[in-house]
Amino acid sequence: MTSNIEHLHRSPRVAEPQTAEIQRAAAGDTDAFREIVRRYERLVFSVAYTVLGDACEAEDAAQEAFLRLYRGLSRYRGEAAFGTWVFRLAITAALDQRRWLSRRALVPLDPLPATPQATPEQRAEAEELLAAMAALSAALRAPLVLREVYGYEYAEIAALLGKPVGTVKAAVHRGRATLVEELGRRRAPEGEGD
Amino acid sequence: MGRDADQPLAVAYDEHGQVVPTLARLADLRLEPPEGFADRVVLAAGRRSRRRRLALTRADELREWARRGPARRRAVASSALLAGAVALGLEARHLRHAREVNAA
Repeated sequence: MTSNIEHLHRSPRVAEPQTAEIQRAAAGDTDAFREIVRRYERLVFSVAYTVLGDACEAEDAAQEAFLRLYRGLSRYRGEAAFGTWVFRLAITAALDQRRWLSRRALVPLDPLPATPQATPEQRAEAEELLAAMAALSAALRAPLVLREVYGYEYAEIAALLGKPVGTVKAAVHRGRATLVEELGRRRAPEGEGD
Repeated sequence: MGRDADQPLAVAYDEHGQVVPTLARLADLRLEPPEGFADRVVLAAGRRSRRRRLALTRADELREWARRGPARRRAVASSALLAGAVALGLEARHLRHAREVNAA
């Protein structure tokens, strides 16, 4: 359970579960585990969606993250905050799902899932950004998301992806350039850039 | 899909035209998972847990089998064969007795 990445980066804030709740879930209490899943499901699903860009793939990755959490609950000793651990499980499950997929860019067929806590403006921003990010290949998207969205250091991203730091930096650079180009194209007045 | 320049931008750019970390706003984005997600996770966890327990039990049995030396394995196998033969013999005797009773 220990990891080199102990800080929470820019992961969203979720109130931590009580130690007793964690212990009950670890002992096989289904209701306690369900409560933990409900507490973190939006966070985990959102992280997976941001990394993968597809709701179905994100659901699979989110489920896998929670299954890993369930398996690891009995070994959780509180060295890191519970939320840090959940966040890391979400990231690694999404990255594993990405590896399982081909390297092609995913084109989401469905609209952005519901955003119950966002204002209409925030939702519009996110929709625009995520639509533009669909232009990125998985090889560019994951490093860019880890760096720019969640604030990981290059060395951490390299460790997570199993790539050299130089490759990660190049991918982030190319990802930014591609995203800027795509956003510019989307914002250009009708008829321009076609 | 043209947009007015006055509309809010999802990202900002630095002096080199690079996307700057306003992408971090996505870290605060909360998407609603599909309906019934938590229940499906709990069910899947239960299934995986049962499969894991079964696999562990079988692994323990195999380990125990391997731990016993060849002589003990032969002894256990012989005992099982003997028990099987006795059971078959008893069954045959019971059937023979039942036939005799029916015939009478």
